[in-house]
Amino acid sequence: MSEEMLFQKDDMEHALSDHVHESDESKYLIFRSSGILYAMSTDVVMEIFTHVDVTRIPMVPEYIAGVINLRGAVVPIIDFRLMLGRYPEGEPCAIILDIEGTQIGILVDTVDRMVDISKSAILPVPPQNEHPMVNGMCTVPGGTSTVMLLDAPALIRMSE
Amino acid sequence: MGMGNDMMEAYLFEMHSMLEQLDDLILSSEQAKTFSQDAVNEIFRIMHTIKGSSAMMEFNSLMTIAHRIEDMFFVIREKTMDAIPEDMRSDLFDLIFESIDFFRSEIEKIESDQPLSNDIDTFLNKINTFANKISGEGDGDAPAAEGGADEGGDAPAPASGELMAYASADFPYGMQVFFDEGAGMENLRAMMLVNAVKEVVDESQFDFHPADVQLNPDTATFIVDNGFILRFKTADDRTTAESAVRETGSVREYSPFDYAAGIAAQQSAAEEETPASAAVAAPPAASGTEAPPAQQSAAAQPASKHAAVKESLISVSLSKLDALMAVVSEIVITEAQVTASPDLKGLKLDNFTKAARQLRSLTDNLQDVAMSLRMVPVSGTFQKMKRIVRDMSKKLDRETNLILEGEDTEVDKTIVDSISDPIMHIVRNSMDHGIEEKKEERIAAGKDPVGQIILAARQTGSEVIIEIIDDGRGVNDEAVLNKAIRQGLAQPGTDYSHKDILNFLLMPGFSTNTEVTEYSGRGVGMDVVKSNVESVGGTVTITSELGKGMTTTLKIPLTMAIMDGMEVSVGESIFTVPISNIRQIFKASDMHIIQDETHGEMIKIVDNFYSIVRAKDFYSIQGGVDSFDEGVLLWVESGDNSFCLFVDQLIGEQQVVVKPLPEYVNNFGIKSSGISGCTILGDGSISIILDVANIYTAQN
Repeated sequence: MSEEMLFQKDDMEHALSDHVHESDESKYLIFRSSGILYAMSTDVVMEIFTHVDVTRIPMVPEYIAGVINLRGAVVPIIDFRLMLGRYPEGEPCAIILDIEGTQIGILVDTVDRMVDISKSAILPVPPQNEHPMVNGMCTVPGGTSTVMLLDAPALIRMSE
Repeated sequence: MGMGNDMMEAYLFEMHSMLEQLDDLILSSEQAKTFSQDAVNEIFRIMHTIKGSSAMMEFNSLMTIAHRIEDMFFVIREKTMDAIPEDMRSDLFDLIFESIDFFRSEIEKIESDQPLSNDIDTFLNKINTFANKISGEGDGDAPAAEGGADEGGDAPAPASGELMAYASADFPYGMQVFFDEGAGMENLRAMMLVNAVKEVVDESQFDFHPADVQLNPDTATFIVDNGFILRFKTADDRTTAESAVRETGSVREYSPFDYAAGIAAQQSAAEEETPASAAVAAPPAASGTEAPPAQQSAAAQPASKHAAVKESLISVSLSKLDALMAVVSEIVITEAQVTASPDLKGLKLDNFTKAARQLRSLTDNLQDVAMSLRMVPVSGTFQKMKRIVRDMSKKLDRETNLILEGEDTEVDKTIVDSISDPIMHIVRNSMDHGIEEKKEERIAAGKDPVGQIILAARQTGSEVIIEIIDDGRGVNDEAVLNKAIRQGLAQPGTDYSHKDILNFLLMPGFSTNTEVTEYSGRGVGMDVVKSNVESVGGTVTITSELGKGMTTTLKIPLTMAIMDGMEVSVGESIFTVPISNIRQIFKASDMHIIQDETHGEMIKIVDNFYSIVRAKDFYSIQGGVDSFDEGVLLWVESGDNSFCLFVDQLIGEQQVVVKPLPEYVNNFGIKSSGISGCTILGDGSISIILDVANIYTAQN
């Protein structure tokens, strides 16, 4: 797994003390995009589609796949893989999110599963690996794989 | 006193409609150069209502001013307009306009939650001075004049103020109520007191004296002198009412008294008289005594007409209408999805087809009704212009008539809101730059010395056309061109057509007057008008002939929510082109295409060449046809811009519900590339709606 190798050299000394004494857990959805595992708070996840008909919109950046008709509402769809500068492979899954009242969908490779992650397990991303849309990382409970925690509101800020 | 939101809303609504009514009334009276007795009554009535409801809401500045004007009109009503010399009338009109403006600004403050004006003395003095002049008494001190006619009117206090005179055999248990000294408007306070008592005692179980407190402001003086008399059928009711009286504001004291059988006889006589005469009387005001009931009936006709109109109207929040519209849109889409379902292909379903046709016509109906709910006449906006023209013609001393045509033309509420400012701007422009400064100038040009601005609205099948026509100087091409060159909008030495030159007027940063005037040219110009109108999908054109005047035409699509569209395909994509923009659809052969030196393509239609925009290249779409022989050309136009759009094929005509694209994608500025929105087709897929005007702009 490339993502594990990528982060094995992470210096865990960066762990900040304020992450330690909060132990409340929240649910996260784990998905895979271009070989990397991401986790997103389930608070913002509305639904998941394995197949969507996306209508392309001209004159927008390539990572905007287009719009879909979600029960009469027109919802924009972002190709998450292209957004992070990687190339999509295979038929994607669409995760529809409701971020602060704005509906938006992201295309990812596969949806993995739901997990509980406690706040204390979330560690900061080393500065040299930072990304504006990732606001933490952690090891999946009971497993060895590592997930990047996605900052949902940052998705929307991208277009502003 | 409860000041709930409902009450506040009702108050504001009432104020707005009354002020509009007032504006109208004064404007037409000013034209007639006098107030008809009906108009005087109406103004009196309106001021009375403003005073009353403002007092109830405790908006003192409004109450005081309305009170003074009411008093003034009381005098005018007595003396009739004949008593007011011609030379004072225009001041009177100005004064009333000024007070309307005052009311408006106070209302605005209320709406924006700001404190009301405290300092109304200057304005108050102005009204008083004028009122004194009218009453002609030379009544030294201003405040006293406020009472004006009333003071003379209430001379003989009824029956020596003896309490027993007001007792009644039918309502033997009386109560005399005095309000705080100097509380003012005792009659209204009394009315509020009655209302409070009504809450606890049945209306049939008590009465009050004077009986006409609500209608007759003169009763205030009586109440100050003699107290306000409440009379109950039973002592219990009186006790119950006590609490209501106690809780009513400004009550200084109250005392019960009982009916004494002994003096019943004399009283019944007095009783008969008092309601009619006690509160009023005295020769000068004798006619005034009779006046209120008479006036009431005179005013009754217009008033009842208003009432009837009001009752058949309800106000609904726009958001509810939007919600209704959204549901209706969904129904229209779903209906198409059901009746055109691919599952039905090849089936022979006579009954279904029949029912489906019926459903179709019903949904069409539903859609029409739902849309009509959002439609409002342009008259409101037009009426406002009357006032602007009136004010400006006075100020600039350019006598000008505003003629309104087609006021009852209806447009979508959102459109009315967005064209109000543009129209105002154009009308101001016409007054400022169009109409000649001097009458002599007009006479020399063979025109009526009085300028004329026509504001006309009419409706064609798909759009509303609003024209603002003035008969002023017209546009001086040379001056405009020179200005355009100075502003860097035009190239010196280039030939510009008359039309090109007029278009400079609509460009940002263009203002023909070098000086900023009070009314127009505040750094914003016709370009703002243009962008406002375009924001609702409309167009602006100007025509003008030097010396004859100028016409500005606004064309606005009737409604933006639902429109007829032509579905076309380009590669895999489906686009919707508004039918209203399509002039013609035709096939062309590669042979007919003319190339320019930069590989631009054109085609000749009738006697003109039009440039071609290939949708495929314009939007960088994969796939799609390249040869003109395989595709189809749409000759489209928007305003003055006309060109041909090349697409793969036509899918068909369809009524579509316009939906905005999500903000997320709009943020990439696709609107300026002609992508104005989208619609959901019968099969659930999304089609992108093209905005022809913006494609033209982007292409050039």
